[in-house]
Amino acid sequence: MNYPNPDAVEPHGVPTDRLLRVVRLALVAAQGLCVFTATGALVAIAIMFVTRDRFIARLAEHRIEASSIGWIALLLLLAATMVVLGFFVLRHLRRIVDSVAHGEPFVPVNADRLNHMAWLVLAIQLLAVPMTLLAFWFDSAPVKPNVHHGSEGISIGALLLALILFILARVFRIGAEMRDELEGTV
Amino acid sequence: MAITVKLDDRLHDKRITLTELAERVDITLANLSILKTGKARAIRFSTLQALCRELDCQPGDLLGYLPD
Repeated sequence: MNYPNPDAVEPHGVPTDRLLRVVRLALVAAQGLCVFTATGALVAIAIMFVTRDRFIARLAEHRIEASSIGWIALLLLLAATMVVLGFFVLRHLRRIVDSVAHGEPFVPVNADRLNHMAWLVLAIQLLAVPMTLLAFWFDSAPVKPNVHHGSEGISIGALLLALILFILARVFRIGAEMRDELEGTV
Repeated sequence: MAITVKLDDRLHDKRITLTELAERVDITLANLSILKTGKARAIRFSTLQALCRELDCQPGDLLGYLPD
């Protein structure tokens, strides 16, 4: 079996291993998308309040009360927060991928990263609850806006992911200890 | 540290340098230096065997135990 070369990193830090390079590129792109989406949501909130009168008029077309503007802003804010948390999950993952490319995946910092990722996934799921409630309330408007919000509440898959990440963090911590011990062996 | 490494004494007795020993036992000078300075956490049987062979001694001649 061919294992990736532990030294498969160019001097400027880009992995030469094709799979790692593709994954790294995908993660960077996904991070960019997160920044774009979160910024978009925040800009939307700002625009919503700047053009408040026009926005309220549009709400009235859907027979939604003007006071709902605050809830809609909260919905967008929750979405932006979830995306920002997602950005940090991806950043941790990218740093783990980089450490794999450097041939040093079993380091204590990667165990910490996996642990943080697990907590972030749980936090995202926690935010999904009020967001879904708001989205359902939005759906209950007499005239539904032609928008699919995609909120499905707490995902079993995401909870399973958090559990796997917590376990992987422990695996990496033990791996780091074993590696540390091996380094002191002559 | 309770375990002491007496590699220096043995090297002096046999009149060989650490570099020379590193070449003979096929261990890097850095690793042998770690062992000599007592910074190693563990020693492989294969390393101990090679050192005993080249220094013509017993493991007890290389390692000592100092009660705390």
